[in-house]
Amino acid sequence: MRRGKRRPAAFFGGPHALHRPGADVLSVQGVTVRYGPHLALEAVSFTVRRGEQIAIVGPNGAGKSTLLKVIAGVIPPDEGVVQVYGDEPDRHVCIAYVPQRSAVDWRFPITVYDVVMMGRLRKHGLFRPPRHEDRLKVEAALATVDMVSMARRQIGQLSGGQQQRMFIARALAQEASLMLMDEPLTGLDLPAQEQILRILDELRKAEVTVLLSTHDLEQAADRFDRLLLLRRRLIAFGRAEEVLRPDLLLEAYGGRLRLVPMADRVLAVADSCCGHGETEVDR
Amino acid sequence: MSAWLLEPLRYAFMQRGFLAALMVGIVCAVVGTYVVLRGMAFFGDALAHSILPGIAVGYLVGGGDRGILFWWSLGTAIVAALGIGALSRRTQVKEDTAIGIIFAGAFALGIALISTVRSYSVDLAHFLFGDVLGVSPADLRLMALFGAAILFVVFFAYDAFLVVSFDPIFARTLRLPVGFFDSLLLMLIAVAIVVSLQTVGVALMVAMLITPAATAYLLTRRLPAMMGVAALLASLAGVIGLYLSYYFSVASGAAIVLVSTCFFGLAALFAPERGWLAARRRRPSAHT
Repeated sequence: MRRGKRRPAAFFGGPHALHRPGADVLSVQGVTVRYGPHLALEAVSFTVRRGEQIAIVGPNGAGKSTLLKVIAGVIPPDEGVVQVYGDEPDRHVCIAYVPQRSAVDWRFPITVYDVVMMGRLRKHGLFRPPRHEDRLKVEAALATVDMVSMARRQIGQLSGGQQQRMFIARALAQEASLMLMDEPLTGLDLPAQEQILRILDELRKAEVTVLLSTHDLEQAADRFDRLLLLRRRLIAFGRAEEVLRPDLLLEAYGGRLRLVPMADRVLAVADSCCGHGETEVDR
Repeated sequence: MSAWLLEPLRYAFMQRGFLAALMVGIVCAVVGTYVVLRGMAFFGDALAHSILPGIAVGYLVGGGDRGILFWWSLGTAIVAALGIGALSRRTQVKEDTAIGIIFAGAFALGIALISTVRSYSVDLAHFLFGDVLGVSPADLRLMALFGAAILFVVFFAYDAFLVVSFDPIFARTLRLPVGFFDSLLLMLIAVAIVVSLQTVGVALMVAMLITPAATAYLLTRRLPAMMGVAALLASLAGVIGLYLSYYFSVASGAAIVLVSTCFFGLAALFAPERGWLAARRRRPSAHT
């Protein structure tokens, strides 16, 4: 499908697509995205099952954010098809996109509660005030991410981990069944990372499908069902031991990855922005 | 004191001036909240200046009829707003350069057109700096009508404007028509500028849009409060400015803007959290 030929989404959000029975949660087929002459994604194909948690890894500029935005229905692919529950993503409101923290202005005069309530906008309607039910959902979402006491804070007063949990609460309030998280762990200290990983465990129980981009190969291997190794093209997609192979990592990271031979395994050191991209790879 | 305050109100033209200043203050402050939060100050300034050719044509065609002038200004403002909006989305040079070229060119065209009339300098001064004491009852009615329409749209589409301004990508995942609301906001700014033309003129317009809103930004932490405080400060600046204008024979538009600027200065110094003193108190070592 080409840019510009897409079916327009209902203007003020009329009827949205229903989930087709038997359809994959997410199917990406031959997706290519160009920014001018630059190729951001090239013929990427994969499918994801319900309730899976997928880590998207790859070097900076590999197209991780672009892939998430294509799946979110924010960037239309130049070629290929994305389907969420058997329909185009921009006809769904069940997809939550959790942005990088740098994507918004933290001095904006808005409270944590207001931001989480944005997740309810489609439920209570664009031109109607929130109902009692919406308030309950927002409070429940805040409780899940342990942010109830922060609800009335202006968002600039939050720590990095709290900012990230606020965005996750907004996705929870949205009652999304597919969550796309753009580097939620990057730049957080370990306790803050652990808090978010615990929320992911809660999402697993609720069968919410999660795609999360990260620089941390070790965490990706430990905490996620499958890894998607990306460098413009899809290099590998599968369980950690299938993906974190020296040859594949070298293909993805090129010179930016050092492979350190150990006694019985290879230590892959990714030279990425956040520094700690170490993981062990079976020889 | 009360005699001093009531004195100007004996005149009908002063009463209309006060009403105009209040309405313009409130409408511009509310719309200006979004101008400040979205970093559109330069756009607002450019848009105000770009209307001048429209005003000039309306002036030449209507021969001074205010109604004709208003509609010409309104049409030009909406075309200019959507034009500049489209320009900033696709341009070969940098966005601010493109806007700068267009707005200076349009402004020059306006001056050129007006300069063909004999009473050129007086009329031009009114368009550039406003003439709040020359507001007619018919002008007031138009201002009230369009001002109310702006406030109605801002109130009605509050949630949409909030999401689209704070996190446009999230807004698109909610399948909101982001482009529509962006254009709607540009049009609201355009109409607010036309409503305010007579009070402050094009040259000082940007101050009506951004100064009260920026002051409120320093004092509040939620958008509704920011809008309320901005509207209050703008009204106050309008009233105080007109008194200064009456008693000290200062140009009214300039007086209003100067009062507004003083408010901003005070807030920048003394705001409880975002003020200079508060910042200094938080890290006293930085200045020793």
